[in-house]
Parts: sequence; C-alpha cells; structure tokens
Amino acid sequence: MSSCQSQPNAGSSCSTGTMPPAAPFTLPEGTTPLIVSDAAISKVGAMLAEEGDPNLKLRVFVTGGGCSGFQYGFAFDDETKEDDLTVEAGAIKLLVDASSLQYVMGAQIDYEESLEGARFVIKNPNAASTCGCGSSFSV
Amino acid sequence: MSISVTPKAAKQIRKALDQRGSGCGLRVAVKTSGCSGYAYALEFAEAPTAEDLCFESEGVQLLVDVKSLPMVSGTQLDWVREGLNEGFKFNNPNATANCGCGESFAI
Repeated sequence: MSSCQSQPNAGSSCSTGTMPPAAPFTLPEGTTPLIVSDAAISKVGAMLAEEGDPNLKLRVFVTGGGCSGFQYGFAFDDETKEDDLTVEAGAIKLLVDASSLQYVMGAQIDYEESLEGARFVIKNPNAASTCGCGSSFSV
Repeated sequence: MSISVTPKAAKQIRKALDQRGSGCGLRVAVKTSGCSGYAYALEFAEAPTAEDLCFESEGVQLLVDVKSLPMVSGTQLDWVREGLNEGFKFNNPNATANCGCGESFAI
C-alpha cells in the first residue's frame, strides 16, 4: 500500500488523490460480498487473540502489482473508514474498501497450510487469470 | 554446488518432519512452470534416490536431484513471515527475475 500514487485502484489509503469522498457502501440486497472459510475464520480468530486488541479487523485489499496486474493484500486494521464495507464471519470482522470490493465481490477467502508455508488465499470469480501462487491476478 | 537453509527454515523443516512422523529430509526440486519460467517444488523425501545429491545444513537433510541442482545451487532457503502469511523463501543467486510471491523464477 506504500506506493499508492501509481495505483489508481489502491483504495482508501490514498488521501491526497482527487477522487471525491466515497459514500458509505451499500450492497444490493441478497448479495454475499465475501465468503470466509472456517479455516480462515479460525486462523484470524487465533491471530486476533494473540494480538489482544478487540477492535482489530482483517482488512482485505487489492493493489496494483504482481505479475498478473493486481495483487491481494491482507492486514489487521483497527480503523474503519467511510467507504469500508464490514463483513461479519463467525466471530471475526473483515473490512473491504469500496475500490477493492469491486475486484473481490463474491470471492472466497481461505487459509491454506502446506509444506511450503501457510497463507491466506482468495478464490476470486472475478479473476480472469491468476499467478502460480494465487497472490496476483488479472481481470 | 550445494544448497543451505537458515536456522529458522531448519526449525520449520524439523517441525514438518516431526508432524509427518517419517522422512529423511526435504527435497528441493525445480519444475518448468509459473509465470517466470521455473517454479520451486518442495516435498518430503523418504530416502535419497540414485539421482539425488544430499546436503546437510543446520542439522537437516536436503535432497536435490542432479537436474535441478545447477538451477538452485547456492540457494539459501529461509522461512519468513510476510504480513499475515508465512512460508519458505528461496534466496537463489541463479535467479534473474522472481514472481511476486517468489514461487516462480527465471534464469
């Protein structure tokens, strides 16, 4: 998120841009913005318990980058911004800013553990192609 | 020609082998795929084959087949936490380009 000047779709962290202030995001009725797997809920819950801050939420965002054009990012955030959509899943809450949401609408967030490592992954119906490891995608 | 691991990677490999309950070490191989041409493949090894070279680093056994070795020689395998994710990272002096996540590389 650090080089957001070159990423018009980097989301709400760009406060110096010329974009008009986004309105609070409302979803069409019956839409599921994000599906969160049990493995992801349980892992985020464990990580949050470790952090010890009840205000933390999992922020899911999309930035420019990676070999397929866009890249997913995950971070803990205790601040909800105006254009954020809050998604409740089990005992955890996720935040997605409006610009990122258009790229991940309907996607499934999972947590995978294997010999290579452990990571959050997104299965995204909007992605036309993805990088080998799934951290980058194109639309 | 050899490969090595950092203490953090060694700890992770030992943990994975313990959880699995068997296996002599970690096999590091290279396959042709991924957006940068080659991709790393890691798997447990039960025993070395005739085509393998074995290296010991930080107390763990690493196996590399003779075809893969020239592409990974000098590599130091590390275990890193990046944001909320953690995993093995390949510090490969032969790679001229890497994929965003480091899984794929070019020579």
